This record gives sequence, C-alpha cells and structure tokens, in this order.
Amino acid sequence: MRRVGPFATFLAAVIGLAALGATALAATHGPSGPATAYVSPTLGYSIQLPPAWRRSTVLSAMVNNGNLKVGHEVFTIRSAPDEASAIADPGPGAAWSYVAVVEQWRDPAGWSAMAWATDPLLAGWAQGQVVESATIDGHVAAKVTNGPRFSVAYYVFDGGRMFVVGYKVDAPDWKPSAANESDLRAIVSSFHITP
Amino acid sequence: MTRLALLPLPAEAAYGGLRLPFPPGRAYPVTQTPGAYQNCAATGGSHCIGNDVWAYDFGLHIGDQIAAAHSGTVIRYVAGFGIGSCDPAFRNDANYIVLDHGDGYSSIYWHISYASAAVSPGEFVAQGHPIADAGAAGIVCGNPGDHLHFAVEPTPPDGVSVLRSVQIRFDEAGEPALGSAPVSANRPRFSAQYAGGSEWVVLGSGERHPTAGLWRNTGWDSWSSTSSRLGTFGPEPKQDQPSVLTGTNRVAQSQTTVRPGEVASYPFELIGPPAPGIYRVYLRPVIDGITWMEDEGVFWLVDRR
Repeated sequence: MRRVGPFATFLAAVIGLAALGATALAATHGPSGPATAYVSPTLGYSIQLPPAWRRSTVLSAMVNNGNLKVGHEVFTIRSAPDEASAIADPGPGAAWSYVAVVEQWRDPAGWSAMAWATDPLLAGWAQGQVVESATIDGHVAAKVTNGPRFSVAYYVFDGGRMFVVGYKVDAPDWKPSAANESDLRAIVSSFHITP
Repeated sequence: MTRLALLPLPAEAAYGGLRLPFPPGRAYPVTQTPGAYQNCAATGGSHCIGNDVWAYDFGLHIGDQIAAAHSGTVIRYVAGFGIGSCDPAFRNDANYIVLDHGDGYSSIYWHISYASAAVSPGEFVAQGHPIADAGAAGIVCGNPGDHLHFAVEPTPPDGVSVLRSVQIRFDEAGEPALGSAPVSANRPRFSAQYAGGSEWVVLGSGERHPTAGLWRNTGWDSWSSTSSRLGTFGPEPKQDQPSVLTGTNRVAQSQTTVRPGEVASYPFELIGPPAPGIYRVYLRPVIDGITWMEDEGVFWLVDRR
C-alpha cells in the first residue's frame, strides 16, 4: 500500500497529459496532394515526401557514432508539437514509430551491401529477419525485412559509403493515426543518390 | 490508458527465476527503479513512461561485465554503436541484446559497449553467462551516462522491437530499492551439485566393484572430458593423493561435453585393499587447471572384510 499514494498522484497527472496528447495526435492528419522532394545536401541523396510528411529536426542527427556512422535523417508524419508530446510521453520510442530513415555510414573497406547487411556487428541481427538481394535507385542493394533496427531496410553501397534506407513500423501501439505503411514504402522507394 | 498497468502487482505475481544481471559476488547500485516505485510526478524518470515501466537501471560502468539474468536464446543483437546521448535522436542507435527464455518472456539488456557482445546471434546461453560489457550507447543521460537498463517483456514476435515490460523480482534481491546495492548470487562459470552415486560396499581383497559419481553442472559453462574430473580430497586420502580404493587421484568424465543443467557421470572401480578395514575415498569435482568446484563431502566407503 505504501506505493499506491504517490502512484495515484502520478496517475492523475498522466490522465491529464494523455488528454492533451490525444488532441495533438488528431492534428497529424495531413492534406492530400503531390509529393515534395527533399534533397539532403549533407548526406547526398533525395527522396519524395508524401503530403504532411516532413524531416524531423529532433530525431535527425549528424554524428560519427561507432567511428563509421556519419549521420541519419528521419522523416515523420507527426507535427512538431505532436512529436514533442510523443517524446515526452510515452517516450522517444513512440516518436520513432512509423518513420522513414536514411543513414549514411563510411565504408572504407568497401564492404558490399550484402556483406554489410549480414554482418551482426555492422547491421545487427534479429531472429526471423529476411535478407535478400534487391535493387534501389538502380543500385545493387541488400534488403532486410524484420531486422533489429528497421522493419524494412535497404543497404546500398556507393563509392566508399553505405546508405541504409528504411522504415520502422515495429512498435504498432504507437502508430500515428495518419501514418500508413504505403507512404513509408513510397518514401523509401523514392530514394535517389545525388551526384 | 496503458498507464493503469503501472499499478504494482502482488509480489507473487512478479516474473521470477531471475538472478541479478552481473557476476556473482558483485554489487551495483540501483540507479532507477520501475516507475511504479517512483514518485513519477516529481521525478519524471524514464521508467515512468512507455515500455520501460518495470525496468531497472543498475550503475554498471563502461567495461563492467553483464551476466545473463535468465537462461535463453539470443533473438535480437545490436552492438555496433559507439556512443550515446540524452538526445532522442539516439533512440535507434542503442546497443542491446534480447534473450528469449522459452517461456513466453524475454530479458533485454540495453546500452552495451561497442563490439563487446560475449554471445552470438541465435546462441543459447545459461543463466550467469557473460552477455557483454556495460556501456552508454543509445539514449543515456549524464556524462558518460553508462549503466545497464534491464527489463523482462513478453517475447516480441518477429518484426516487433520491444513490448511492454512486466513486473519482475530477483531470486537473491526481490525488487531492490533505489540506491540499494544488492549482491549478485548469479551462477559462476563453474559450479557443481552432487546428484548421486555414492555407495557403501563390502569387498574382498582385490575384488572389484564398478560405480560412478554423478554431478550436475550448475554453472554457466560446459564441462569438457579433457579437463572435467573428480579429484581425491580430504580427509581421506588427502587432496590430490592416490586412493587405495581406486589407485589414482583422478576420475574422468565419461561424456565428451556436459552442458549447464546436464549431469556428468564419472565411472570408476572400487578395489578391495589387501588389509581388512574401513576405507573411504572422498571425491570433489574439479576443472583441472582452472578451479575446484563445490566440496559437498561426498565419499565412497568400502568395508574390506
């Protein structure tokens, strides 16, 4: 019983916050219309974003992580306030749900896409993942479905660098109401390496 | 309102069979308890929200060894990230390992150090087996923010990353409180428990009697026939001294490999000595060249009439 007192206070607080969150979530429904191009000058690629989708400045980061990773950009249908609300409650995992991601890694050893995608240290590993050959943007790629970090990801080698282009729908409890997997597939399939 | 699940369950409903996730004899402070045991309105801890509401944080530092809290099979494995940050942009750059216990639940070990995994994808590991070194990859707050985030959750189906954690308790520490530093009683690498075979036999001079000692492997590593033995021990004949009942100071393991949980058999013969009397041979399991295992005072007795 000692634990119930502070918990009851906490519960009352989160019920109030949840009501606010529900309002914000409803605002994520976007308009219909043509896709717009997003060009990344830093990572050297472009993609097409369906209406209401945007680059998340909060979740994107240019960071040399693990010596090889250059950075990543995240694309979400959540509005900025909704994204902030999700990060605060129920947490960053929710904000990362139903997002498209483009990562760039240095590949000085010239690993092939398939070799990279099947190396547990470089790409991680999950039971039940499926790795297969694929093509994206005219490049030979390795496609990993149900991997440890992405629901679907393509690994694309391009001149000393490895792109990882994928999306996450691996936390279905936190799906934004306006998000759908077909939009995410369209974003990923529009990936294009820019000169 | 998923938050309702934060209500503490009765202690007996908590998921058990766990040992603290670090090697035996070590103690680390609990740096964050499950949200149910926090004043979340005041602290706003990361275990107050989302899937992590029944997680524990332990104050392991970079390089400290993490041990399996429960046996299981590695079903998710990420170890390729070097750093972390309090920034939510690092959410997908967390190093972690998930062990499927085989009973519908899995344990998850977050923030391990880059390339430190001591297990392989798909490998089955025993309770106590090293998992990896602690680190600070993923969302960690503080400088460097290193710690072990540990939780148990229903085993996620393929394609689902993590599920909502469940209430847990550790065999040796229950549900440890914030700031406490419980001492791990997790399994050591080599440990044995007597499982049978000891006899009291009457023999004539030179008469032979086949027998076998049985010991269960209760550690996390396998025993190999190349080094797993029963060794003579005190009080009779003395440590490493040949026994008049066996003629040797060692008895070899019959199986090539004995994995954790399995029982090793050490067959040998008792031989009646020339002189009448009561003789004993005390035997203790040993991994030659590494360590003696537990001494339970097990002996065979020969009544030479």
